[in-house]
Amino acid sequence: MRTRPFPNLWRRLRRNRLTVTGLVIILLMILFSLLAPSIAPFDPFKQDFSLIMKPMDRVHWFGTDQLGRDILSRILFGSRITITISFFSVCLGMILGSLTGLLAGYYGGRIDSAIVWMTDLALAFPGMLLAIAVIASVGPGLEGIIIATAVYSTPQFIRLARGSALLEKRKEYVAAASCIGETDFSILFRYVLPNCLAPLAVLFTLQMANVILIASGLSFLGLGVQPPSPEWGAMLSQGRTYLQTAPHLSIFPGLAIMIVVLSFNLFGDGLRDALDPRMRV
Amino acid sequence: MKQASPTPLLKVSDLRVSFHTETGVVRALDGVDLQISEGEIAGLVGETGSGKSVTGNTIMGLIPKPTGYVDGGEILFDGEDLLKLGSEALRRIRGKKISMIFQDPFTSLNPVHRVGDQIMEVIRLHQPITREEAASQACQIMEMVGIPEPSLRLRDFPHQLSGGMRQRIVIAISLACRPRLLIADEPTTSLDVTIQAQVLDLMVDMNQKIGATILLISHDLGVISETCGKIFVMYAGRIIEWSDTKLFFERPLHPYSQGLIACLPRIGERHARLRTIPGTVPDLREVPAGCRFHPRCPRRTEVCQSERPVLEEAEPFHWVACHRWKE
Repeated sequence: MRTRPFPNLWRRLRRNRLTVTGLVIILLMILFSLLAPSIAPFDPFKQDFSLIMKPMDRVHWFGTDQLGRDILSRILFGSRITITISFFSVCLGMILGSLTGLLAGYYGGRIDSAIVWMTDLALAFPGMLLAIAVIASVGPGLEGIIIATAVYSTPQFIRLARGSALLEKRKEYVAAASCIGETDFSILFRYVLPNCLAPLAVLFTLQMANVILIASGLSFLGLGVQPPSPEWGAMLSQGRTYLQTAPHLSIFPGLAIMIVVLSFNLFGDGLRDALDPRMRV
Repeated sequence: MKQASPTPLLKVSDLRVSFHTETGVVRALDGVDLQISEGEIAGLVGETGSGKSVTGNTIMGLIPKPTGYVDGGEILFDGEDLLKLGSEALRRIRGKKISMIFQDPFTSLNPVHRVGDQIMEVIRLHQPITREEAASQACQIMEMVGIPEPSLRLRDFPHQLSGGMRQRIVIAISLACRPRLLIADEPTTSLDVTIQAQVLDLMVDMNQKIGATILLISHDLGVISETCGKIFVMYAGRIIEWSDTKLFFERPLHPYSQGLIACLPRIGERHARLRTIPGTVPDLREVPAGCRFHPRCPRRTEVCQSERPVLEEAEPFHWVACHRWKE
């Protein structure tokens, strides 16, 4: 018989149709971004001045933009940027945040107080403002936006990991582990951390949604990925000027952001319910 | 029953532990003395809050750091004072020479690792052997603690096993390195009665097969009487009587011990209600002066209220701390 720590996870996930919808859209988006060069009908950077701001038709499904570029192709390529930013940023935030939070919660004492204090301070800022401040110091661009959004999500991971570590370290199996002569290091990474992973995984998916939103917002403000990159937020921003004459320039990137953020949120909620049935209302 | 050897395996003397909480200083242990010889099964009995578990945890070095303090005394294990050892030296002893079983087998196993890995973990921590060798040792020890088909159960997660099976796994983990001392803190309290008997039998069996000395902590005199050769009675952070088990049940000397034994329900005896000892264990933030039992004692006199009784030898293998045991 094959056994796993969360034996019913998939069955529980599957029970909620919205969760499955979210997961399918996320997987489709990853697939599209991987296959973008082969499935995109046009070159996303190719400008054609005979085709400026054409509405939707059979050739250009989503129409063309103010420089005559195919919007569908740009959205497909844009998903690569979005996924790169959100994935690396949330991974960075999760690694930094979980480790810091875990150490703070496990060891306690003055270091813990200092970390909690700084975390509360960071969380008191609106996420967008914090990200803008970081961009101001590291400069715009792909790296800048990844660092800025990672700085935004780190404190949330710190708080969650610290709470979980506090909870887990009081459990008997941790005392039992030190009874068999485990080192602090091994108790931390083989006992406490794996048991904190479920809530961290949920936060990971939900943070993906937040980071996508913030990254698009930063690009919209011109602080993120710079043109001519087909970043969704930047496309939205450029289309804004022509909102009255050619709304499709903004509608499609806007829809893309909305759908992806929504599906990460749906999946995150479903994952939380599946991992912890007690939290289901 | 083995005779007490000249140097006991574990000798705790005048151990004092306190917890500094927000509501005051709790003196959980106030001069605890224990002596356990190699190969013995000793029972530590007392009411909730009498300091039994704190004693076990202190021997193991598990006093929670920011609040708990060892104020004095020594814990000699095999001639070495455990309280003076550094954390690295202590870590090497834990699991190898001394190990501990906790009350609740539902929380004392790590839920995310397979039970086989958890047994192999302790083996590999203390012995430089390969995974395969550790796995075969784990199978052996699982077989020894009565787990059927150990090579299959090795791959189970804790949540797939029953309470009795989990406690067997916990015992297997604690015995995997053949420790010389096993501290069992209420190992059967959260199990149902038939499983309790099996687990106790298993512990006696392991005591004989592996030769592990056992300190069994329990609030259940019945459990202690069935398994232990020696019994220590604790009250409000002190040992008030210790004795050979047989002598203890024949002639309990301390009024508290007499009360405890009188409380045991007996089959065939007609009583409308169970007997109890009047009063409750004192709040350890404000303990009574003198003998700590005097407010509840039917035989108290003035000296009991002012002077602390010390343990004295009433007869061979029978010590008591009471001013009036002779009467």
